Amino acid sequence: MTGRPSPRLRAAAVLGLLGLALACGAPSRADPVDQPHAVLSPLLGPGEAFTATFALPGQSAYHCHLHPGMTGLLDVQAAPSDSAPRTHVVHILDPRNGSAGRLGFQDAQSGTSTTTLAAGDSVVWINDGNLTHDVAFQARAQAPTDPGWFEPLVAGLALAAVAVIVASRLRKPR
Amino acid sequence: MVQYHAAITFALVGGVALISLGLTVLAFRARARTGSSRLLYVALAFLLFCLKSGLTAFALLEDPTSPSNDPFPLGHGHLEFLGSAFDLVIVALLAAPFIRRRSPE
Repeated sequence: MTGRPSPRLRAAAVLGLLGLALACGAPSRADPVDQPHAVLSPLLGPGEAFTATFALPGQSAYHCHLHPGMTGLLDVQAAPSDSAPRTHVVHILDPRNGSAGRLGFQDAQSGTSTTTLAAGDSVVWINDGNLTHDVAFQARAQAPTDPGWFEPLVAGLALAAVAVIVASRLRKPR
Repeated sequence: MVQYHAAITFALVGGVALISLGLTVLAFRARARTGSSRLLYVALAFLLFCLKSGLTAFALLEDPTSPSNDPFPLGHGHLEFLGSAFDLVIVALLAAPFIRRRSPE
């Protein structure tokens, strides 16, 4: 291969990559606490549990991916100044455990599928059934644990590779 | 519910990686024999197919059910994003041979 890309093409490629990398990185620099963040538990077999902590007030509906009819509601309220964090238990029920045909979530305290908790409290979902379930919800309280560098880096590298590929076909022959 | 089978996953994704690796070798050999620069782009595309399949197999076998907020760098959400980035570069490599610089008259 011979020839070099023109200075304009190289400058345009570098500027374009910088701009797109910054654009990709912008969401990760936003306040992570205010970002709705999807949370999906691992698959929970019989007897397994999943715990999540909720730091901010708000309501969040949750469901089981494997059984869409199974839904529940988390009502996170502002925490009193003198309260200590508590753990709330939600039982995951299915007909095979003798729960009179019920398939759903049941809060241990309220007996319903709604869990009322204070900000800072934790919820533990315990699979009391014989089927596999999971828990999926949008959490406003949980900060993303993704490193902010991953997506901008990958996107930048991919776009840089595309720019090099295009430039290699457009260079001037000697 | 579909049960997760490591053997089936490895056979599907690993098969793509192995076939891509073979095609990479063939493309490089063809390029060396013919001297065509366009075959280099095809060979690199197959190489990226192989790398992408290898990473996918590793991520799926390591933790197939990890949620998108898991710190594992190749978890569910990151794997899809990485796969899309690989696809972008692969498509660019396969399209590159069709890019022609207009010759001055």
